[in-house]
Amino acid sequence: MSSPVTETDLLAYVDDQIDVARRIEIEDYLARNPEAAAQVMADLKIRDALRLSTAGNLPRPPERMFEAAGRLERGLAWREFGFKIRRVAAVAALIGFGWFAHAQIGLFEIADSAASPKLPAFVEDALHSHNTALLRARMTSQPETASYDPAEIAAETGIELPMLPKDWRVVDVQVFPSRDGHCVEMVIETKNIGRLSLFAAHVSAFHVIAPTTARFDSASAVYWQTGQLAYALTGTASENAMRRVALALAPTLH
Amino acid sequence: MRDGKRTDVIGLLGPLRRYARSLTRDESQAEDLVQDTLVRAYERRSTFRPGGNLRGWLLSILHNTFIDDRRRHAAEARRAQSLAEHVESSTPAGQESRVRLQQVQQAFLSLPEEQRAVLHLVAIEGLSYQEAAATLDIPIGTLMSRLGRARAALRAFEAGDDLTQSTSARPRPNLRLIGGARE
Repeated sequence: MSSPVTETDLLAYVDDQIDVARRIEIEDYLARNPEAAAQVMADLKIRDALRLSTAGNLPRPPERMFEAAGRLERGLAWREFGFKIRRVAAVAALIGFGWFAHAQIGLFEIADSAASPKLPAFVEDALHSHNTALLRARMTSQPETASYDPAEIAAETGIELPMLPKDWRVVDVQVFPSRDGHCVEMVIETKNIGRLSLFAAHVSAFHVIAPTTARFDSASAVYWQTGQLAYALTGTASENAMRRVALALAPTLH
Repeated sequence: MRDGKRTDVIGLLGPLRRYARSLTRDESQAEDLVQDTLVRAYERRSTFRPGGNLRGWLLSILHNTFIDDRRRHAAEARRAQSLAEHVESSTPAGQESRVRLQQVQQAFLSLPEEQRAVLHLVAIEGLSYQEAAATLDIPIGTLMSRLGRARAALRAFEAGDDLTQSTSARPRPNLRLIGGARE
């Protein structure tokens, strides 16, 4: 069942900020509603006119503007450098943990720890869970469960969840069955990178995967694995932003 | 490495200057605003999250600088008038399409500032709704309703098709809801 077309849908259609499936539904609606179609055409025309009228080449910026921009660039590059060092340390800690766990629990079936180009199966599960969560968010008859008790989840499912930044708001938490036990799907509202899904699941193969990005049609994901727990963040923010968040979350586990 | 690209401030001068023009509606004031923004951004460089969205961060500083400036100066209406005259005189009004373009631009510049800011970021700079809402520090619902009102106003202006009174026309927002209501 498709949800009714709203004014927001028409705006998002004009701005091309809508997934292909929804586009088709809206186009179908527009074909049957000439008035709405005329509105969309007018909006598209105005958008193009505005783009055209501001596209004219700006005069060369004054020299002092270049100087201020250059100074800012250098200041930011320096910060970026400091951050990179910290990131290398975080990844090194993660790999170190992997080796330690490997040596301790030698009896588990160990997958090849070299980065494999093939997407782990749990990433696909994470994407499905993310889509289901979006569906649930749209449905009024499916109330969200915003009460989040990581201790209870860990006790009941054995799935440890990362510490979330204070300004993140948990919108929905669901426990689902998965291939190898249970999995947890959380929907989180963040201030800077929008709505995210955090997926955590038990997997049978012991593995250590540092945060790795994967792109899908409508979303991008960052996944990682520590031992038999696999995690994936799915959202629509840039791959860089998602990766950064995953790198911050991963070390709060284990 | 792509690191040089990530802190490419000079490459973002175009978007910053365009946004400043839409906000201030005055060329020289826009250049001052961009300059102030760069200085302020440098002072606050520690608030930029490495690997974060540089464009959004800078646009948001520019917006806040504009709001702060405007609280100090109250001569905005006069400047709007001077830009309106400037646009008219600087562009040869030869073809009809050119005239139409100017009229749409003027209608855009006559929008209330909050609607102008949203429409600029979304329609001209092509920011995602999420990014634009973060830049303006407003909830996404507010962003959508401002965007809807801005579009409705410009549409009403287009439909009015009154070529003679384009400079003074302040179209009335006309938000039509289809199906379900959002904020």
